[in-house]
Amino acid sequence: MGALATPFSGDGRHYLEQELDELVQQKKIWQFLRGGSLDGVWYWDLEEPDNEWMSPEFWALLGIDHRSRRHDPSEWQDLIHPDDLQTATENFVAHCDDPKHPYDQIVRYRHADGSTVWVRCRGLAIRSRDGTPIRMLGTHNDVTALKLAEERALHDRGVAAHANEELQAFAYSTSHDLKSPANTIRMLLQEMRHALNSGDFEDIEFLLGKAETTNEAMRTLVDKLLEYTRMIGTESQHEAVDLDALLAEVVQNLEADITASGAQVSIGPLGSVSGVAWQLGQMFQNLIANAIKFQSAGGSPSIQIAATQAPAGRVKVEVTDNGIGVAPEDRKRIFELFSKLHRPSAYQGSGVGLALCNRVARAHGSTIDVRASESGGTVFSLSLPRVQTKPKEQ
Amino acid sequence: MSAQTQTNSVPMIPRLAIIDDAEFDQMLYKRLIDRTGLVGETLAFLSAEEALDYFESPDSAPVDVILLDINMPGLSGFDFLERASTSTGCQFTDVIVVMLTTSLDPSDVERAKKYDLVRDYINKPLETQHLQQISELLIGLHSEQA
Repeated sequence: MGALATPFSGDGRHYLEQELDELVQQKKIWQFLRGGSLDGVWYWDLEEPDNEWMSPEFWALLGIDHRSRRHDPSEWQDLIHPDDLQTATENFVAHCDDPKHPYDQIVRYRHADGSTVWVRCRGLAIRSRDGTPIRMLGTHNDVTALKLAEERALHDRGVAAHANEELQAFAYSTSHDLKSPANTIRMLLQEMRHALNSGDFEDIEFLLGKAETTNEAMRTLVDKLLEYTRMIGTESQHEAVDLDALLAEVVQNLEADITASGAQVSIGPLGSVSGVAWQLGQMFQNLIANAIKFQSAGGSPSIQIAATQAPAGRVKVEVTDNGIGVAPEDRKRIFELFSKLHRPSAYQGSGVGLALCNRVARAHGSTIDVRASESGGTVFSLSLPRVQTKPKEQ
Repeated sequence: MSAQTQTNSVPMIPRLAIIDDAEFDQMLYKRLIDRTGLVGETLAFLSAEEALDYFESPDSAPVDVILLDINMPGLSGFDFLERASTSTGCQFTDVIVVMLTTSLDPSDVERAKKYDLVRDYINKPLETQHLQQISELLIGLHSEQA
């Protein structure tokens, strides 16, 4: 503090504040600027650089009572982000050397509550006749809201770019898998024309049958794809889902398949989880339909769905079958869209079902693990969030 | 696997193998191929595994041209190329492999080009002109060797 015994005068005001008030002739306008347009003001004695008055508004911005301050620059230098202090110092030195170099930067301060406050900090040196900087007057603007919005926008842009990539990959595989039956139908139509030219109606009848089968497979594929697309980009509200009731409904939907295959399905008790009912319904329907479908010839499917408590507030749900099983090396790729392990004559499938199950599991914070069941079949295992129960009132 | 011998004198492509999991497509290729009269015998394999069994067996008759699908359940067309070129049992030096696929992915074309065995790349469906193209490739290969 050098020459002065105390920087505070008799009326308790800092001498630099006094000086500044005198400097600005129109005090009302100055007050308007300070309170209505700026979030902080500072005035620095460059001849006595330990003295820098900073306005109460600035300290309020950081959740600090200005009365606790000594108006020493170390007070703000301790709270500014070290990287930003370096930028500010570099700009300060450059501005003192050359008035054309602006002292202007956005810096981060640590609020008393630990959060980050983004502040645009600008200043102008006041120079003596020979150009030596003797004072510096500066302003603060709180830009935290803008910065947070910018961060959110950047994050959302990343999410959107990811969704776009996923959609592109999806569109590619979809066009690929829809083109395949379209090609088959085109070849069938060519053959029909040949058969027509040679008057072979029996052959036309045969080819028509193949075309109908191909068309049906294509329709099923499109239906499956629509189911799958419903999952893309939907953030549905999680609610309490009664799994026992949901599975009863699923079993009813699959009744025809269950009766035809003579499948034994035993369920639960499963209890309730937190999730999206329609998504979970589709997932279980696909898993049970697979368990019925991937059965060795002459075998009768036996399927168990069971739930156990798992750590971290989750419920482990397992679907166990006695089917043909999945070889260890295939356990990852079965979840890829359009991935099929078997040719259509062995097991019909669109390659969409398990990809859909995987999406549902992911939307519920889980992956699906695959392992062999005791009978050589498959166990699909996943976890779902437990329902948050409110504590009972005393 | 099914085989049928044609009674033509000297077909342009004596023995052709098609590896494709789509059964209807196999049947339709066969009809198209028979109509062209360019092929002596057509071998149809519904998986890369079946085809490898054939090519690894010392008793199997040599094949002139292989039409190879890329996307198949189990081993893919690329898996087949990988195994066929490393397996000592497979004699593939004189064989023309033509990739036959729905794939529109340029990266698949690039990947296929890395195999010396792969001479051509056809987008499905197979057409008469493709077979003519292939038989010309075969003539070219034979005159190189002559």
